[in-house]
Amino acid sequence: MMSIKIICSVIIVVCSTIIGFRAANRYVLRIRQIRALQLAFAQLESEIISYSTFLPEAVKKISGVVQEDIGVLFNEFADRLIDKSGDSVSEAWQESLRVCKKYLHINSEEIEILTAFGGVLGASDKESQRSYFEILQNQLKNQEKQAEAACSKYQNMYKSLGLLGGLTIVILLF
Amino acid sequence: MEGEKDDTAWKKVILEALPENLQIIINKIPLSFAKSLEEIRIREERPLMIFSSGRSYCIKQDGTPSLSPKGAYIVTRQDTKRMLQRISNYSIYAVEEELRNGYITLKGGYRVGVAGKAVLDDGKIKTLKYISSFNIRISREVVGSASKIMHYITSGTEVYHTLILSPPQMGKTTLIRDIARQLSDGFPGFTGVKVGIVDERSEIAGCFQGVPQNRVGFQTDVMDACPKAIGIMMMIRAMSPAVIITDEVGKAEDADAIEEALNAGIKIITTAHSGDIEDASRRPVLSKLLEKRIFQRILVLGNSLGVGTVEKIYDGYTMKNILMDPVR
Repeated sequence: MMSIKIICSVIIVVCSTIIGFRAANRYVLRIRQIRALQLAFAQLESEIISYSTFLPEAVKKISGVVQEDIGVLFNEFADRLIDKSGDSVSEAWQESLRVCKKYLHINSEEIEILTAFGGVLGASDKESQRSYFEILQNQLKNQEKQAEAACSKYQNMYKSLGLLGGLTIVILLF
Repeated sequence: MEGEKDDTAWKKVILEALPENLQIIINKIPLSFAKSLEEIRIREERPLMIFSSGRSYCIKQDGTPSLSPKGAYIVTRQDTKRMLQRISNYSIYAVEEELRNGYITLKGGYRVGVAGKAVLDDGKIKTLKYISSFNIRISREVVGSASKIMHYITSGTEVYHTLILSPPQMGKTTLIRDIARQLSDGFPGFTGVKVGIVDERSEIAGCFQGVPQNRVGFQTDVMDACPKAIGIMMMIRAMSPAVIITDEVGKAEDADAIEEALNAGIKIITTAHSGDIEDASRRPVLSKLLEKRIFQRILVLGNSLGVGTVEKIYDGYTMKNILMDPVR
């Protein structure tokens, strides 16, 4: 009896700790993805401004060198553009965001910023494109700061909550 | 005339440039019209039109051509917006230069002329915005169109300085394209030589991203979208062509560049918009070139046996016609 209780307790504590850690980890993933987006867009800007690479090729190129989840997003976007399925840049980008949602840990504010950018990407001359990229990077920088603040605030909280929650359940049960 | 480029090859490239609803309509155009299709004209809030066999037709929703605009499909703003996205490959920033020249080149060398509102910067054109008119030009390469006249413009291993006079749309570009190819690849009795093409309006070689989409010969270098005078000088300096081919000479600086090439021992083959020699002698720049007896051969194109007929070939020194009967 005693040993079963111990095994159950361990399982419960381990599970709730894992849940807590995963909740905490989302904050870390959000920061990582924001940074990956910053890097990806910096590279995209370079392709566009310095090399005048056509958008579909530029996006495809970047999808191969950027962090995994963001890479999947850019790859989806590139494929839609290459396919010429009739969508505008904006539509192709929005669809890609929608389809890749499950891989993204960025929040709705970030999605809004990205969606707005899709409306201007590739649609004007180099000078204008450069300005839009600059605005985008500033917005992402702000979001990065926000995400870092949230992370330091809640990361430890959720980790502890997970562990303590599990212990509480064990105590209440047994 | 020998081979013609596969007539449906253009369909694939051109259709991709159109928004889907227009693709469907154009696809339904009867074969008899599609075969001699020269232009597709898309104008916002006006009927969809084509230019085929020398006439303009309005196109209805079901693809039938008609001489009257009644019942024709009216192009929407969405159509033109999507079209611009497609032909620029979603990258306006990458086609700025071409827009400034008023056209975008598609893969395959087909040119889409654009018209809209000009944006000026310091008196010069910066770009076009509100693009509302498109003219898709379907040029057809005719391999072998120059076969019957090659021995008139060459002699043994020598190429003659040649001027081709032609009224508009009489096939002069098609002809010099094939001349370039045959001089470069060689033909029975003539070993190929190095050819340089200065393709100011991207019509001869139809370059797409720097690669000629038309057959212009394997020993041919192309200076694409480059003003003639500068292009000729650049070629003289480093490409060592035996022959330079360029289209529509008309400006004073073009004539100067041609003389430079002559001084460097390079042969020149060029064209001019003109009905015949008398007409050409009245043009300021052309008349000077004719007076100096620069050209050894002067070809005159016409329509007597159909588009692309070579009506006369003059010896540039004697100004006598050495062609027995018009050929095509």
